[in-house]
Amino acid sequence: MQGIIFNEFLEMVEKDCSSEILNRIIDKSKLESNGIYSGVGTHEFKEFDQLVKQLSLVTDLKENELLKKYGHYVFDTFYKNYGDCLANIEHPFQLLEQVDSHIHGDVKKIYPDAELPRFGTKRIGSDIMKMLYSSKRRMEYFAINFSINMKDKGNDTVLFTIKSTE
Amino acid sequence: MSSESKILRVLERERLARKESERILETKSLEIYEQKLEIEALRKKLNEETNRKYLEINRTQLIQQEVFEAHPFSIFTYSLKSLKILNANNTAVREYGYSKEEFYKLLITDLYNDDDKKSVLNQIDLIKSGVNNTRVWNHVKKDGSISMVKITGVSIEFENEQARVVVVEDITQRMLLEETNALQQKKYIDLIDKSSDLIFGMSPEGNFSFVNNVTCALTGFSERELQLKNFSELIRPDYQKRVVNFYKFQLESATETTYTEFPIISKDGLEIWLGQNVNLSQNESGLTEISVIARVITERKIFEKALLRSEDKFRSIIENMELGLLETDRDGKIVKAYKSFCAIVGYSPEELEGNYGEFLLTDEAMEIMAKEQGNRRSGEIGVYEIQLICKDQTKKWVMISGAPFYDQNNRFAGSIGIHLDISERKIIEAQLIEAKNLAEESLRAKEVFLANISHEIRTPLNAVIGLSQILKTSELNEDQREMIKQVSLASNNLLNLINDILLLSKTEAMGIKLKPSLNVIKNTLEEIAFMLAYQAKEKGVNFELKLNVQEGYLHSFDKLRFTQVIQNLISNALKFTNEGYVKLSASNPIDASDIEIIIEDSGIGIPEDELLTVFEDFTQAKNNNPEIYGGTGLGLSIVNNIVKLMDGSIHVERLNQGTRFTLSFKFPVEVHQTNQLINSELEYDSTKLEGLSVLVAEDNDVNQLLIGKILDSWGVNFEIAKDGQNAIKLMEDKDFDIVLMDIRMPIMNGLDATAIIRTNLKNYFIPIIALTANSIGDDKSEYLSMGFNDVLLKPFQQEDLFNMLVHFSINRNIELRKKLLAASQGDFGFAETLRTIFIEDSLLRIANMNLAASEARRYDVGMIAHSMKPAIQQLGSQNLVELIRALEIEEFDDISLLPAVRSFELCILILVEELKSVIL
Repeated sequence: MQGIIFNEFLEMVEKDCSSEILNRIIDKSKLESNGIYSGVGTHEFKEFDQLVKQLSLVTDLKENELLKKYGHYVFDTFYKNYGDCLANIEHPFQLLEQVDSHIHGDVKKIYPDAELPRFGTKRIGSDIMKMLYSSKRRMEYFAINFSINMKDKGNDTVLFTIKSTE
Repeated sequence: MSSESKILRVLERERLARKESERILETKSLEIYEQKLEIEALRKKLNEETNRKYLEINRTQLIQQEVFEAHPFSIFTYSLKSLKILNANNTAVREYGYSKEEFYKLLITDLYNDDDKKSVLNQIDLIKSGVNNTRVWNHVKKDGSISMVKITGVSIEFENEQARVVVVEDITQRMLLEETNALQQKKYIDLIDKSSDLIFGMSPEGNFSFVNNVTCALTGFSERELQLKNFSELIRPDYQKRVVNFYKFQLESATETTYTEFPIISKDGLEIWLGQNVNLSQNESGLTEISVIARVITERKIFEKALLRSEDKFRSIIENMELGLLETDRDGKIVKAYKSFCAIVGYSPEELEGNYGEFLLTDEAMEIMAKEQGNRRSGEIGVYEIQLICKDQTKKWVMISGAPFYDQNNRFAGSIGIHLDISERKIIEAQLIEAKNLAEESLRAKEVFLANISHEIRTPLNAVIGLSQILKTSELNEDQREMIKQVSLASNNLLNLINDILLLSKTEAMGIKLKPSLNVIKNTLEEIAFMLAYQAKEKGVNFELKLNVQEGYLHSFDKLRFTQVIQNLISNALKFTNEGYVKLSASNPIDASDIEIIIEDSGIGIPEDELLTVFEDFTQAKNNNPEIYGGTGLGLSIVNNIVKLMDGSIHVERLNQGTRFTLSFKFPVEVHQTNQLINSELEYDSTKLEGLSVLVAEDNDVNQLLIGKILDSWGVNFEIAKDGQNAIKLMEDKDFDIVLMDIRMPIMNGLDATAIIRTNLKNYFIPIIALTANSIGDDKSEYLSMGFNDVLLKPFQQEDLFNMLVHFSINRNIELRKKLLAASQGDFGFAETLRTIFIEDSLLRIANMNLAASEARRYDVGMIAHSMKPAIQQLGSQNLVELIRALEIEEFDDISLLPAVRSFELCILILVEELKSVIL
């Protein structure tokens, strides 16, 4: 998994909790990398999983809740860093539709070995869309929240119903 | 600032720096990515370009290879250093017979023969030093054959060595062709030079371009002289304009070939006629060339002139003769009427010419003319006679000889009629015909008279002779016997006289036909001698017989007539000889077919001056008193006539004491087979007629008696019918084997009776023999066609009657059996089949023939007769064969055809019945 996902997570913990909690979950997670990640590198997903578990233990928040939170947080960062990519998006559906075709395409240019989730979309009505998310990792809540954030950028309310296919 | 915040600041800077470096890294990564993409695109393009170029090079190479291989000339590459052949194309493989692998083992010099090798090496040295040339060489192929080749080469670098590519053109064929062409050209030149015709060329202006030898020889001018002349100068001056204009026209109208005839004058002034063919052609530069072939026709021209002259001559001859000449065109219109013709008909030429001349012809003449006109168109020359109507309306007979004449394309152009006035001749002719008719009329009257006489006299005479014969055998006293003897003698003499007269009239008209049969000449003469020896003995004359003829031969001659001749001569000799001898001798002076018979006597002889006339009618030696010697004086004329008829000769000479007649004959001979049948039986074997039942239809009581006696003597059963009706009645009641039918009978004559027997009684098979005293016009075939089987002439000889009865009774079936077995070559089973087939086939054909005859299809009757002939020839009688032959050659006219076929049918039906009765 991309190092930026690690680093942003660590930053969110440092910012929203404290550096002591950050150090603690890093220690508790017994990471091979010792919590040292490069934003342009690729790291083991199980370390991220470990970190989320430890934080859940420390904060007493469920892992999915944490991932939702994180999805929300990362969207802002991404929006800050790569906002110009979304300049032409007027409706949240458009973004979802372009993840696979545009955004992930660019990601692949820079990180050819990145393992990205797939977003299959199909508009059923003018305001209903069916989206199939598929990934090796169980990051659906992160992904959903990342997407829900879109509502802040548009005017519409997006209501997600998640159905897992395992 | 606390140390912690200091650290935090440092950390923050560090974090930002990290982020910045990460951002830079990402940007760089993206750049690298895009460059990589660009590089990849470039590389791809490069690859494509490389492949394209590669393919292009490959294709060019292939084409080059193909051109190299398929080039019509052999191409070799060889090393200039080792002289090894490095490459050779397919043409070379084909031409030289070496495979490519074999070529690679060869040196280029191996393609040359030993004599050439040194100069080849020299040539290669020259090439190495940069000298290039093309040359003709001889190349040796694998099979040893040699080709003439032209080699062109270029030096190249081939696989890092100096090499030479040579293109080898095989020019053997071309050289051969050139040689042939040269030969051909020489032939043409020779032909022109040796031709017997004048051959020359000239320009359209008439200037000679070339002349052959003949032209020089004939005109007398040399080639040089002619080339300085114009053609027109040679032409005879009065023809020049005409000939020049003729050729001008040819040139203007571009007529390819023309022919014309004109005279030229040779250098020494001789006139030569030429028949000249002129042919126009274009040479390579498009100019018109004139080639001329001319033949000397002087002789023909002279001949034509002579012909014209002779034509004029003949025309004037004909004009001056008294023959009317008339020329008509193809439609018969008078084109020219000559004076001589006008003189005959009295019209002027102007009145006739342009007309069809129908006013000259009578209706009959018109018809004849139309027919002749048709014949003439088909090229026939006809001579015919017609009547012409003259201007004064008198009619004249002319004989016309009409001949067609033709134009130069051999098409009928008209005809020339030559008219000869034959009016005079026609009158004489008419008179002649009248005289002839008159003569013929009287001749016919004479014949009828003779026929009647013969009948009227012979019938009673027959009775007299017959009865005296019978009377002789009855009991008589001496006087009666003597009287009967005298009656017999006198009546016999009378019969002889009548027979003589009849015979003479027949022989004079050459009316008798010889009926040759095969006989032993010696036996015939002995029989005659036997008959006359008694007469000689009675007269006290010595009769000598000296027969010195080759034996073992059969001669073909008419025995009856022959006997008549010899008998007559011997009787004569006996008559005029009172003492001494009469001698009959015979010999073969040359070979068996030559017979010389001498009758010699020691009688009173014939006076010298009458020797030449003894053979004339009614002549006897003057000093002979008819009262003493008797006779009609016809004997020797008859003898003479018969001998002539037999192609023999008779010759009389006077002896010191007596006369000698010498006769010569030449009869066809056959070698005598010992078992061959000869008709010389005199004894009647009456067993042959045993059980025979005969019907005699005869009205004359005496004749009834006579025939009855004879038949009794042979033990033959018979019944007498006194007329035809009676005969038919008897036949209805009883079966007879044979009918003897008199022709002349009251109530119903023999012809009618026979017709009824055949048609009404349908009795086809019973033999009916006609008895007739009518000896003139006794054409047997006439009786046969009326349903009779044969004819017996009254008064008949017993022998003839006997033979005829035998023939028609048993003998017939035996003969038929023989014929059947002969046809089947002795195979009885096949003979049976043959009989069945013949019967069925004949009945079918005869029905068809009847139908054809009833529709007067004579040709079809003939065809059917022809188809039946072979079988009839094998099985039928001679009479039937004759009848079928007559039918086959369509001898009958429309009226007589049907009766003839009917009688033929009768005969066939009889034959069929007979065939059925044959026991095989």
